[in-house]
Amino acid sequence: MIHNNLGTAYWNLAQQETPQEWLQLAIDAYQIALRYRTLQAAPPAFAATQNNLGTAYWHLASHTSENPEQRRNYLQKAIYAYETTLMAVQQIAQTQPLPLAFDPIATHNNLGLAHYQFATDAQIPLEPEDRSLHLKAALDQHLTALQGWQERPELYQTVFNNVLQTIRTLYEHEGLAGQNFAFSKVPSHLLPEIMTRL
Amino acid sequence: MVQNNLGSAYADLARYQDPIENLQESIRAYQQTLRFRNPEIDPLRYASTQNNLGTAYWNLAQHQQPEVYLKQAIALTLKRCNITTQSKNH
Repeated sequence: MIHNNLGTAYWNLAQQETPQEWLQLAIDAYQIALRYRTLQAAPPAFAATQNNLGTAYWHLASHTSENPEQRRNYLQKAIYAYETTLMAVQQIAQTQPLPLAFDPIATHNNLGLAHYQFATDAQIPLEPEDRSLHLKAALDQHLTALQGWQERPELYQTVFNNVLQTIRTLYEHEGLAGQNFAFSKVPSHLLPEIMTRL
Repeated sequence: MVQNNLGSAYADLARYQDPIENLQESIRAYQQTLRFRNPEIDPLRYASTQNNLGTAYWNLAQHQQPEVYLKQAIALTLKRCNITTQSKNH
């Protein structure tokens, strides 16, 4: 039995397709889909595949520990795909409201996390102004998600923690100016709780 | 289209049992579907199957054990029967 388990483990090791390879295949398929699922031809389908593409790039970035330059590239692509998703969602809402196959509030939260990761990756060289822009974008997205998930206590708590984390990081890098900027963006009724938990 | 539905069925099944095997079956079914779908004639159906294929690959990436875990599993199994990789060489 032990030998059998061992055999299976060695076999799996030899057969190993890495998560990176699967994610790259996922990205290829999504990109082919997007040639036909355009914003004009099928708005909600376009938005859904852009959202999938964002998540695939984001996960690929987190599997790319050994190559910071590539990780930076994947994170930028994740950010771009999520932004495109939200642009499409906005356009759908304005023109002809159609049901979506995904929760765009989660896209706001994930976009915030991608910005945050970009800003705080120690191996990605970044000018202070660029870091500041990414941290502020992260805060903005997390606050939007916080607003959207007011009726979803568990998700709300998760985003609330993301907001706190982003404010702490703004303080670390930019001192009181960074913290004050954050406080000016937070809805005033949330300030007391945020201040006690920082 | 039977093959496409088969792909979705395997993908659903993967959520409950043998995720890796069922996802691989699901990928095979989607690939089969794509052979018979012409993107020029029915672009949106073709794109939908590509999107589903992408998601099956993405799911597989979540289930794939990184190499480091497999090596740990091997080391643990060897340890349980008091074998070390070094002693095997003697």
